[in-house]
Amino acid sequence: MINYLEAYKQYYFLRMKQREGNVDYNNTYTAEKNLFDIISSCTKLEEFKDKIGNANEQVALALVTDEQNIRLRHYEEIKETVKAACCRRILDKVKKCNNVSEVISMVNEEQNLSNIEITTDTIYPFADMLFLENIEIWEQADIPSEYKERYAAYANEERAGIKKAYASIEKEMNNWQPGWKFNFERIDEERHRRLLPYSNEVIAAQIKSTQQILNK
Amino acid sequence: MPVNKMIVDAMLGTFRNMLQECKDKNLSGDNMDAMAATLARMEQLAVEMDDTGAYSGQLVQEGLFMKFSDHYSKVLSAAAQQTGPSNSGVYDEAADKQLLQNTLNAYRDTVERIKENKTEIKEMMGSHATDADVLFKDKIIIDAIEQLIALGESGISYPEFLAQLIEKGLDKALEGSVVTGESLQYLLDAAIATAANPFLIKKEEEKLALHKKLAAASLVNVPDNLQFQLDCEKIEWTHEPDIIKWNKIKEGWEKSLFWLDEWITAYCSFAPFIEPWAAAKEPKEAVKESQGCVPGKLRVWEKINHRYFGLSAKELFLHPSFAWDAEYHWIYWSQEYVEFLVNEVLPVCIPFQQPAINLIEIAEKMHNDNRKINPNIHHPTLRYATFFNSYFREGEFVKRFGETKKVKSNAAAWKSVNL
Repeated sequence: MINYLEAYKQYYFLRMKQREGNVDYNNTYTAEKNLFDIISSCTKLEEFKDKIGNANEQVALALVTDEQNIRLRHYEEIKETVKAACCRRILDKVKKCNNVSEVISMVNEEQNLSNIEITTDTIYPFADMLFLENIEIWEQADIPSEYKERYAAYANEERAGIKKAYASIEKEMNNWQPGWKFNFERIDEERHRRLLPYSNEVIAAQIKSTQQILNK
Repeated sequence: MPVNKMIVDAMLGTFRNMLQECKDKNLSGDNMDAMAATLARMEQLAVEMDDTGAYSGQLVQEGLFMKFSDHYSKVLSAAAQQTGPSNSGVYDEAADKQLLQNTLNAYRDTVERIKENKTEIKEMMGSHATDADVLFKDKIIIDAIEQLIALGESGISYPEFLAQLIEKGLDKALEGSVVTGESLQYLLDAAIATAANPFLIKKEEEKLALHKKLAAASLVNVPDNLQFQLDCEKIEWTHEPDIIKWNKIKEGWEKSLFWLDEWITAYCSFAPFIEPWAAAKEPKEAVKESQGCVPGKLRVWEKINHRYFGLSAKELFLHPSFAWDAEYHWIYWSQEYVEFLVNEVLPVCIPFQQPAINLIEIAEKMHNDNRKINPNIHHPTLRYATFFNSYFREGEFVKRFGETKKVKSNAAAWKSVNL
């Protein structure tokens, strides 16, 4: 004959032990321990049903909290501020959730929002220096005078190409975030800046040239 | 005009099937109604809008995929509770067996769904269906789930079943089977065969080593999923700037080589009769432009690269990206022609100057002797074919992509770079 109460005590004991001593999962351990303490205090399994309250749900909330804290530390370390912001919002909102269903909906909503934020957090086409390089080549190359007019026209075509590329990214991003405009300040933010292998002077000059072309 | 039907079907097909599956099970309630309303909104937008990009953006902005999945979970959860033990407060053997059965049925459904998905993928892959057996390691995950089912069917109670999942680490085995050491090895082998740059290989090596390290620390030889995911992200993050810089410097010497070849060849007597000039409206005029304008363009390009990386045109060729591409046969030109261009043509490629006669003669002779092209330019394809065959059967690469033709060139093979 199976002693269900003892079997469940053993199960909740193992769940608690899984997280014991793991500082990353401190909240989960506390919630698991609370659950184990409740079942340990029962003399009959039926009592557990009366005493458990939302202790089981609290384990799920604690697990979401711990995992989001792990993610937050990771994104803070690598300075991925957009992704870190999503973790912070979840951590803030999870405190107000009362059950697992609410948490799932909230996390899904925040991740959906985060996906939009990640998509629109772009510095394209600035990262592609090709247009500006071509303008410089067409305009500054020492060439015989008979080609100057033609090369100046090529440079103007590149300028038109830049305007078209920025208008195109703005149109595309407005599909995801109405009102989106290219933000030059974003270029200097660490997550974007680290991917541009140029000096600050080069970046500043390229920004100035682009803004002049775009009349911004 | 509505969004293209084929695209909408591909985007909404899964959601239509999910709703139909719930209807077939006669499920109902507020969440079921909300699922149907959410799908109806997606269908409505597909009719009202015409641009695919704008359509998918609107679906995400309104959170429709997320809302649908949310209601779907709640519908399934409510259905599972209805089939659970009675709410009498009595937990007896019958209730215990019912709970265990519900869990095992969910696992059985999962196995069925994985098998169905693979069958669908194989149908989509048509004549290459057997590739799915190499690329999708469903056996690993199915074996893990079937181990759980066998445990559940062994006559133990539900709490004992749950306890053993933890004790034997079977719950973790299930989580970790999503990314396998085998799939990481495949990606590493592909990166080595491609040999695009050293960082892409290093990235895959580090991910495989990470997988092994985390697996070794686990009771069931399976890495912690979250830790593995975040550590992989860190590996990508670490190497991305190096890859971008590498490629940009490579662009520097590639474009320089292109112009050096154009300039010296433009002085060869046959220039108007070969590409690219022969294709121009007035080939002789096009040749004249190359002769007169290339040095100016090259020197501005040099100035740009010096501003970016502090490297002169010559120094661009001393960057490891050049030696790497030479070693892995990515350079179109032969070693002797590249050495000629960099060591002899580059110093004299100056605006308003012409190359000396002897340089033009060398270029003409190399052209006429067919010594300008790298004789091993086909090696990257051969390398990739060897990798491909090792996974998808001997001879399979040729069968699918045709024979790799060896280029006709009398040049010697590349040896160590000497610039």
